[in-house]
Amino acid sequence: MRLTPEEALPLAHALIEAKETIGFCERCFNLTAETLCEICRDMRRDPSLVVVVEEPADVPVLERAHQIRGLYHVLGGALSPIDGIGPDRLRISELFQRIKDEDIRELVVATNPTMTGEATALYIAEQLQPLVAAGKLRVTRPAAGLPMGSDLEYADEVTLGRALAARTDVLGGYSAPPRSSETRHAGLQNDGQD
Amino acid sequence: MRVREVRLHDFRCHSQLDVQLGPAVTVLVGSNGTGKTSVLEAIHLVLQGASPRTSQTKELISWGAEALRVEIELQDPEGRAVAAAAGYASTGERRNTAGGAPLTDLSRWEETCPVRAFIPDDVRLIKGSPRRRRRLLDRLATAIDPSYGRELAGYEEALLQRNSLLRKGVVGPDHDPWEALLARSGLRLAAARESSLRSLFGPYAYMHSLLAPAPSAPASLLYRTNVAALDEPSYRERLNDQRFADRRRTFTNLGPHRDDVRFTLGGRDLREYGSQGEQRTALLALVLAERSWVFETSGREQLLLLDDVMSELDDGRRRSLVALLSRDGQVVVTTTDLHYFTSEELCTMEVVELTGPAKRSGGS
Repeated sequence: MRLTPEEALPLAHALIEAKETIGFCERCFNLTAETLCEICRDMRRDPSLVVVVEEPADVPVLERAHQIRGLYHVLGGALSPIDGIGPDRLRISELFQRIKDEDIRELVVATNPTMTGEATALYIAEQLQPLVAAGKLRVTRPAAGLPMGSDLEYADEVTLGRALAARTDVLGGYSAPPRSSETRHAGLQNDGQD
Repeated sequence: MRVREVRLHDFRCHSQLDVQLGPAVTVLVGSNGTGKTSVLEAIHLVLQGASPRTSQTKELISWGAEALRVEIELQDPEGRAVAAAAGYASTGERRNTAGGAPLTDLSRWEETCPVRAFIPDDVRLIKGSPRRRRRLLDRLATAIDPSYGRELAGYEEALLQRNSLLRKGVVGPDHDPWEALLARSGLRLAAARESSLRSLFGPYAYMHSLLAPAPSAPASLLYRTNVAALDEPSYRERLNDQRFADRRRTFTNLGPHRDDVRFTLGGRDLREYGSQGEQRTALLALVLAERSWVFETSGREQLLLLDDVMSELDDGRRRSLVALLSRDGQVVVTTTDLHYFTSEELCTMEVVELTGPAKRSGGS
C-alpha cells in the first residue's frame, strides 16, 4: 500500500503477465512458460527415473543435490482428508497414466517426511504394488539421515532413530561371514586385504 | 531443583504465610482448618498451573481479597536461586513468572522441578475417565524414550485424518494410507506403553505391599489395549473391516487411543469394585512407585506433596512410608499429629507448625 500508482502499475502488469504466461508443464506439472518444462525438454535426462514431489518449489531443491538426472512429477500437494484433499485433488491419476504411457523403471517418492507426505507416498506405492510385484517398476523413498555439517548433539530423536535404523557400511565389501570358525577367520583376513 | 521457601499472599485462609522447606522431608503440622493443604495447593499451583483439589481458581483467593500471589524460591543444583511465582486475580487474570520474567509455558517447571501430589479425596486417576490413565502411560513411555512424543503426535494426526474421512462418509481406498500409518504407529505406541508399565509394576507391587493393611491380596497394574496380539497386517485388516462400523460411530474404534490401565487387587478391578480405602492405597502406591521409578531410570527427583497420609496407616506402615520418603528427593507431608513420627525421624525432618489463619511463619 506504500507504493505510488506509478510504482504499482508495472508490478501489477508483471503479475498479470506472469499469470498469463506461466502455466503447468503438460507432462510433469512443474511451472513453465512453455508446453513442456525445461527439465522435460532436456534430452540428456533419464526418462526411466521419475521423482515425485508435492510442490513445484521442491523441484529446484532436489535439483541442487545433483544426485538424480531423471524427470519429475509434481502432485500439487499431499493427501489430507482434514483439508479435503483426497487422491482426486492431486495429480495422481496423471502419474499413473504416465507410468502406462512412458517407460518408467523407478519412481522416487520424495514427498515431505510429514504424516501427510508419508501417507501420500504409501498411497502411491500401494496402488502401484501389482507393477512392483511383476518386476516392472521400483518404488523408492529417500532415506532419512543426518544432516551433513551438523553435530550429532543437535539431531532430534526421530531423525537420529531413523538414521540409525537405515545405517550403512562405512566401506563396501562386507559380506556376512560363513558359520564355521575356520572359514570366518579366513574371511576376516580377506576383508583386511580389501 | 529444590524448593527452599514458599510465600503465600491471600491464598485461601492465609493472608500471609512463609514456609521454609527442608532438603528432604518437611512436615506441616497443625489441627484441622489451619491451612496445611493450602500450602500444598499453592506449590502445585505455581509449578503445575493448577490446584490438585479444584479447577476453580477463584476459590483459592482469600475472602475479600482481589488477587492471590504465591512465590516460590527454588535452588538449582549449582546452588543458584530461581524465583517462581504465580498471581491470580478474581477478574480471571493470571500471571506466571520465572525470575520476574513472564512465563507462558509451565513446561519449564515440569522439566526442572516436577511435582506430584497425593490428595486422599482425589482418586480420579483410578476412578475417573481413562484419559488420565493414558496420560500416565504417556508420561512413563516418554521418560524411557524421548522420541515417544513424536510417535504419539504422528499417530494422533493419522487418527484425525481417518476420522475426518469417516465424518465425511468416505469409505474406500482413501483410508488405506492412513490405516497403514495407524497400524505402524499404533503398534509402536502400544509396545512402548506396555513395556514401560511393565517396568513400573515391580515398584508398584512393592510399594503396595508396604502400604496395604495385611492381609492384602496381590496388587496388579494391567495394560488394556484393543490392539494386543495384532501385527501390522492384521491390524490393517481389522481397521479395513471396521470402516462401515466406524463410519456409523464417526470415529475409529481400534487403537491405543482407547487404551486403559486397570488397577486390580487379587484380580478385582478397583475402579468399579474397590473401596475408597483400597483406591487410596493403590493411588499412593502408584505415586510413590512412579517417583522411585523416575529416579531410578533418569536420576530426576520429583517433589512429592502428600496430604494427610499418616492417619490411615498403622504404626509399622508409617515407619515403612517414612523410610521411603527420605530418599529420591524432596517431600512435603501434612499431618494433624506429630506423634505419627518417631523422635529419630523428626530429627531428620523440617517441622513447620501452622497455628491458624492468622499471619504466622514457621521453621524448626
